[in-house]
Amino acid sequence: MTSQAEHKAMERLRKSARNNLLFAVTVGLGFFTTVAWAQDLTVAAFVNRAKIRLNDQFELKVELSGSDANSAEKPEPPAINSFASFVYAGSSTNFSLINGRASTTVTYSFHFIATKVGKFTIPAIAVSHKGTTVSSKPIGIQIVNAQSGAAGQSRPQSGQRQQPATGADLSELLFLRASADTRQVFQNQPVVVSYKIYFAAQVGNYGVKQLPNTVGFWAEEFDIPNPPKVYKEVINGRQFQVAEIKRTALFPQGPGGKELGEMQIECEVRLPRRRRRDVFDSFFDDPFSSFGRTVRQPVASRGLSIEVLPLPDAGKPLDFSGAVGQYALTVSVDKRSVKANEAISLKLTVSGTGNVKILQTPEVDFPAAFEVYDPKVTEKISRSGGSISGSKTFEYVLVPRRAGKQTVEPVSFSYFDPLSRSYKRASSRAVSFDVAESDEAFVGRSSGSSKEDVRFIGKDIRFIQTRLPEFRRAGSVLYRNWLFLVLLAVAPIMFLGAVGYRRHADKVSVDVAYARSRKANQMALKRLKKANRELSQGNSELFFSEVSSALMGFIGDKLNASAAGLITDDVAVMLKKNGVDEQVVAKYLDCLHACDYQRFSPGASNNGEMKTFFDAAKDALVSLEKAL
Amino acid sequence: MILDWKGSAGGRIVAVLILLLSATTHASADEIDALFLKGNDYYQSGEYTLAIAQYDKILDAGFESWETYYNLANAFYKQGDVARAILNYERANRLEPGNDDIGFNLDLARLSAVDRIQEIPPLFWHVWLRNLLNLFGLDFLALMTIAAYLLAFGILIVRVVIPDLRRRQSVSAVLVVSTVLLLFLSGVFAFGVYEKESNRPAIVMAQEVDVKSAPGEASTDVFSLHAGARVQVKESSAGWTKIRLADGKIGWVQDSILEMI
Repeated sequence: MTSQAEHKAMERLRKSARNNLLFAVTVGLGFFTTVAWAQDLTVAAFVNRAKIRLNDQFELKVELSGSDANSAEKPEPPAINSFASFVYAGSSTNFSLINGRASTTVTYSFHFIATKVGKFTIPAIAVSHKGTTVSSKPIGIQIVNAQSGAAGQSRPQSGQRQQPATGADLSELLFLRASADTRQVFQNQPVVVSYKIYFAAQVGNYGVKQLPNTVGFWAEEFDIPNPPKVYKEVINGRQFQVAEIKRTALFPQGPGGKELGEMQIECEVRLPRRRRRDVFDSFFDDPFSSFGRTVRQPVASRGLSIEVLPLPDAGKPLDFSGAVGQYALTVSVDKRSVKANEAISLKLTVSGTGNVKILQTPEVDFPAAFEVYDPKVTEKISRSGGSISGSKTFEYVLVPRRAGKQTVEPVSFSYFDPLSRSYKRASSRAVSFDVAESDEAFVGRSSGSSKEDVRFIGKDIRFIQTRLPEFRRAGSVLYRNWLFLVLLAVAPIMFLGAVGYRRHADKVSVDVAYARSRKANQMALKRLKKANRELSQGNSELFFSEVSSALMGFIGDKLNASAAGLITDDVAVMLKKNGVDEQVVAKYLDCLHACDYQRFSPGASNNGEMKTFFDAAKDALVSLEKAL
Repeated sequence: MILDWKGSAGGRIVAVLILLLSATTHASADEIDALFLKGNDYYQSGEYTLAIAQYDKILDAGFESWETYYNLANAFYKQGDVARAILNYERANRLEPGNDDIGFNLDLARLSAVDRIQEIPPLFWHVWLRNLLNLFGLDFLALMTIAAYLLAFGILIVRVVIPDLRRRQSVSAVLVVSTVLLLFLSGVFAFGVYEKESNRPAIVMAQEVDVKSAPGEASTDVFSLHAGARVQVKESSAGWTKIRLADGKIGWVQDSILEMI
């Protein structure tokens, strides 16, 4: 077969991939369909294969048909985790007119991967519709070991007959190879991994079953012609046709050993036509092939391990931000001479090979006279050729606010060159601008001054103040004056005083005992004064009478008792009850007794004696006052 | 300030009141007046440098008045020193807020300055309170507040001391009114004190200065300012001052290029 014909066949088969699947389903339909009826709705469930190889994918289809099947609820995938794992679900809707009646068929397909060997039953699938539940019947399936039993793509009846080319035979004629351009790279240095199908059999279409796991990598796909180019290669004496189906540049994101997963595809292989044995053969043969049958052969590549080296610390520039590859830096501007307040566009372009998407914005030292807006970032990536390359452009808008010559210093950024295994620096040239004066008379930083401002400037300032001012000490503030604080403090103190006075006055007006007690000292003092007067006049009787009444009155007032009714003995008892020291009481009583005695004794005492006694009485009162 | 606390109580009160009410200091008043008039004469004859010298002498002697700052600012403006003109208009404005002449000349001087700083418009109640402050002045407000304070306490004391008054509603009404008045006045007064204490404006004196992101010549230039720009001083550290513009920009400049208002 020529290369041209090969391409055509591949293209055609790609188109028919879906048909093939449907075809398999139709096959299954005849054998595994279980149908449930309910009013208007039919639920049918079937699998595309009864015998499934371990780790193979199989499809469970649930077909809902009826006049309004699309209003029925979407069925849940059956819980068959014990022997299969759910992959994905899809659905399709089909309308048809049968005998003038519209019918809708909704097909839900659930894809599973068989995970356990044995015979299992897929439980009935229930669909609720208009309040009732319609179920399909359970389906029995068998999962066999990959080696044992029929070829993967065996149809139900295929187990009964011999395949001319088994999976084992085919794997020598058809395989998938993953190759990396290198097994040891630096962090962020790309590994180009290429996946090629080698085939010596007639291969039509292929479908990707599983993409390689690229965890830990940033993947950039190369553009691959569709259909892929096919060329010839001889391996172990056998000529193979080779088609590259996938090429990826993988940028490792961190150092260490990385594992690249395997890629799984399924190829359609046309087998040579056999002698017809029964009527089914012709029915199940590929309807598009007039000279052979088609089987679907799963093919897997091996995984790859890649060692990722960390970037060396030696010589790492301070501004290094992770760029790996080969880069150049250019700066371009749209104009070099402008007027102040006019916008300039400055483009900073980093171009080269490597992962341009992760490039950070290089730091640009713009003169302070420029107002700088955040850059607009655009990326261009080329995915053809041997490596991923591209450019990242940072477009700044600058507005010079000051006239004069302004220079944007050279911009530079550092990257790691994995080829020379060293850090390098890409620099641009300095760009200078000639900024002319703006047309506006006054140039503001944030906004230009308006015309009104310009007219206003024509006026003159107002004349000086000629009236003699009142000068004051510089920096004096009234509230900082300490007098201010004193006044603040005095008022509450006065208020507290007033409250105290009020309490006292209230107590005096209602509490006689309190009032008398408070007055006791005053009264005693008054009487003593009077006694002193009598003393100076030599009236001994009156003197002693006054001293006595001072002494008795004080006790009466203090203890709120009637002085007239007091007997000296009572006084002693009362004072002791009030916890007055005995010595004080004795002194007081002595005075009182002496007083009574002197009052009623006929011989007048001399002045000296009276004076001594007066002092003693006063002393007694003072100590009593203290004790009470 | 030296207070004579000797003498009678009445005399003391009078002395205190005089001190509180009159901020005028009479010491060497004649000389100060003479300097002012002399400065005005020089100004009118166009000898601005000499006029400035006279006004400066007043300030050096420790006296101030808004008129002195205003005339000084006019002299600087006539000489073309916009930064110093703005500085002194601002100082005049501080002593006599809301004065029309100061406002007019200050606006004119600001037009000659290079920088236009977009001010963030203040809140309405802020404006309202500031107008109230401008109307009365902080010292007058302080007097009013202390008076209302003393009045409220006085009524309270009278009410406590005289028992008959306690039941009279009129006394209670007066007490309520004076309390409300006190709350209002002290609120405005407190705002005024806060404004005064937190407000530390300064004027840029240097012709052009690059404002840095951190103290030190080696720091990055954040933006640039020109003579006459008004900034708020936030903090100082080893010869460098952190400033804030009315539009919110923040940076550091050397102390020497700023002059506090």
